[in-house]
Order: sequence, then structure tokens, then C-alpha cells
Amino acid sequence: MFIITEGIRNLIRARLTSALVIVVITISLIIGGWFFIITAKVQEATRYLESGLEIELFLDDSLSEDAIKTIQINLEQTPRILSAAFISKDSAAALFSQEVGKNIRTLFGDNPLPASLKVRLRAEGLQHTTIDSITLSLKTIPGVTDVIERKEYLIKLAHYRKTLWILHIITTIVLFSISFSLLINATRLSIYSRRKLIEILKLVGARERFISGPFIVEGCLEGLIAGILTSGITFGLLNLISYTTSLKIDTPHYFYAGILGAGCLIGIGGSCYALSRYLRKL
Amino acid sequence: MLKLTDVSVTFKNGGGLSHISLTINKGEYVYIVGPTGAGKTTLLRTIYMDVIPNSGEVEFAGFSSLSLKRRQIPFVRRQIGVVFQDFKILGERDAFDNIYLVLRATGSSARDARKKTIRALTNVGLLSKRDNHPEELSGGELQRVCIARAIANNPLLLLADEPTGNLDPETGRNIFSLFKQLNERGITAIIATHNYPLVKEFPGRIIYLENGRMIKQ
Repeated sequence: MFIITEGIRNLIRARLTSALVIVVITISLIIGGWFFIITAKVQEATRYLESGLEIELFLDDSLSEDAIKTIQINLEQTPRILSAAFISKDSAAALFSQEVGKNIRTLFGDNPLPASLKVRLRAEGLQHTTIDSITLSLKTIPGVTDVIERKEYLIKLAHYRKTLWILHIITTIVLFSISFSLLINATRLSIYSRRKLIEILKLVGARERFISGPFIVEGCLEGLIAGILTSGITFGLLNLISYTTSLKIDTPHYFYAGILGAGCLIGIGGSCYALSRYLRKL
Repeated sequence: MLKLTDVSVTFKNGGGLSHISLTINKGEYVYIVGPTGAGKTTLLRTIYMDVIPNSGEVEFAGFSSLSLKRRQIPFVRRQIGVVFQDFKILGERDAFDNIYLVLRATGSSARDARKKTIRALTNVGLLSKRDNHPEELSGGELQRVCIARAIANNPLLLLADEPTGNLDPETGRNIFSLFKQLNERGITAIIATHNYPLVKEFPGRIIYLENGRMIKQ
């Protein structure tokens, strides 16, 4: 209890240093938190796009309806495939007319478009290598004349997502390192301003736990305040965005708890590190 | 109670102690005298384990410098009260708080620390100034706060490092008188000083140091 009281008193006494530390942690948490939200949203969007990845199977005109039906059922029973929709020659011609604005029969005198099956793949575990193997196996189905997939588009997405994750990890590490080193320096300042107290306490027989306790409490409180500030600012900004742009950005349930926890961890970690180095020198 | 056996301390920039052997018994009143740089402060620091000897052994209250672990040092220091020449009083705390904090830091409960602080301030005649901050106290009063802090935890041994170094002669006399009174109440005291007139006025066992060596007792 005495250690906690002393920690709070220290925080109030060294207002300026404490404010500096709180601002530093808050800025880091805001940037880190927003980067997390953006990365999570991009992940979600790419997953959504991936789930819409389609492979088109062109069928031989000589295939009977029953044969096509059998292929369709077999495809739908394949674990990697979400659905297989049949597009008849007539439907393909109608789609062509819709997209081009001209009747294909008028242009070519006949309908050269083959019937096809639009296969939609499941998103889970989908990688461009998996698509390659799926395409190869689809090509071997009797009656299938050609298979078209848009792998490049998926590769780009996968690459983009991977790059974003790497960027997110790097940014988090850099931000936390900056925040941590600033915090260590601020704690050093705080220790320096109270070096006489530490010296006296050491000379009269106080244990290191007692000497460092108030500093750790102080660091934890600074981190907690920074976490609360960050949560408040983020919550306010998200609401403002959804109010002004009708874009709803949901955050995971653990987001705010994570922010508070990260704040406390930075605060405690920075104080412990700075103190252990200082006390070892004494 | 306190035994030093062939203690030597060497510092990188020279100085220190050389082959000091001495025994101090309970209730003794001892002066360590000698010119500046003789090793008086080093000897005191060695006793409260702020300096660990390069060779030899310091034995105090069941602890030995030869087997002492870092985590045991606080427990040695809790048996020793130290009075510093530069007082080492916290400016932002009043007289009461300066003593109370130390007692809390060394394991006393809030109630016990309050009682001990009041008793220590009474013993040095400063209870009326308990709420005064250091800037409101004279040099002599500051030294009394320092003495009160040193004796508050009922130490086995009281060490004073040049306790009159920053005080005028009259205040210095009062401080020595206070040490003598505390010793008469049973506190073992070791005072490092070069204030020879006061040593003569308040007699005790004298240990002479010069260049880190014990010249005579």
C-alpha cells in the first residue's frame, strides 16, 4: 500500500516528466492501434475478395446435360470448391450481349460461346500454389476444353497482404522501441531527480524492491493513463468516421483491453529496465 | 560486536585502507581521527558494507564481509544508523517525513514508524519542529534530524562521518554532546572527525588513521 501511495505521489510530484512519458506512450499506442485496425481491415477485405475467386471451366459442346450435371455434382463435392454454377451457351450469349451491347448471333451468325461451369473456391488456406493444383486437376476432367483462372490477381493480393503484415510488424517494433527508449530516458530523468532519495534509502537498508516499487507503480500508472487516453481518442475517432462517412469500422472486443495492457506493459517494462541499470551501478 | 581483521581496501585512483584490525565492543564511544584523506570515511563505509574490502574481514551482527551476499546488505545496514556530513535530508519532505520514510522503507509498520519517529525527534529535542521543511531548519537542526533518523530504528551501532564539518563551533559542541548522551543511553557510537578540540572535550576511545593505516589507538 505504501509503495502504491508513494508511486502516486511521485507521479504527481514529477508532473512534467510524467506528462511527457504519457504523451510518448499515447502517441505510440495511437499509431500502433490504428495500424492494427487498418491491417485487420485490409486482411478482412482481401479474405473477402479471395473467397470470390472463380475458375471458369469451358465445356465441350458435345456434352449431354446429364454429363454436365455429373461434372457439376462432382465438383461441388470437392472440399476446396464452394460452388459450381452452370452457364449454358444461351446464358453466355445473353451475358455477352449485356456486356458488349451487341447480339453475338448478329455478329458471328451463330453462338460460338461454349457452355461453362463457374467454380467458386473456398478462401480457407487458399494460396496461388493450391490454385495451380486445382486448375491442373480440373483440366483432366473429360469434356472440359479449357480452364481459366485469375491467379495473378490472387498473387497480388497475397503479396499485398503479406507486405502489409510485415510493415505492421516492423512499425509496431519501431514504435515500441522508440516509445520504450523515450520512456527509459524519462524514467532516468525521474530517477536522477530522485537520486538522493534512492541513495538514502539504499544507505539506510531499504531493499531494492522497496526502492524500485514506487517507480514501477508510477510507470504502470503512466502506461494506464496513456492506454485510457488512446482508447478514448480511438473510440471517438471511429465514431466520428462512422458518423460523417457512414463507414462502420468495428474493432475486435480485445482491442481496448489490448491497448490498456500494452500501455501498462510499456510503462512497467521501461521503469524496470531503467531502474535495474541504475541500481546495479549504485 | 564489530571486528575488522586485516582489512585492506584499494581504490583505482589510490587511497583506501591498509591492514586495519580493530575490535569495538558494545556500548563503546569511539573516535576515528586523522587528516583529510586518511581513510576515515572509507573505514565507515567498510563497516556499513558500502565498500567491500579487497582483503581481510569485517564482522558485524553475525554478518561477515567474506560470505555476505548482495541481498543481505540491507539487513546489515538496518542495524547501523549513519549520520552524514552533508546531512542527506530530503528537501521536499518535512523533518517528520524524512525519518518516517526511512522507517517505512526498512520494514516498520505505519503505526510503529510514527511512534519511533516521534520518539527519535524527542530524543534530539526537535519534536516542535516536526513539520518544518529543511529550508526552515538551521544546520544544527538538520544534523539533529539526521541523527534522529539514524537512531530511530534502535540501531546496534551509530556511525557519524564528520558530523560537525558543516556546523559552527557552538552547534558542533551541541551535536557532540548529543552523541555522548546517546552513548550513555547504551548506543555504541563511532565518530569520524578531525575536530580535535571537541574530541578532547568529550573523551572516548581514539583511533588514529593516516594514509589508510591505523597509526595508534
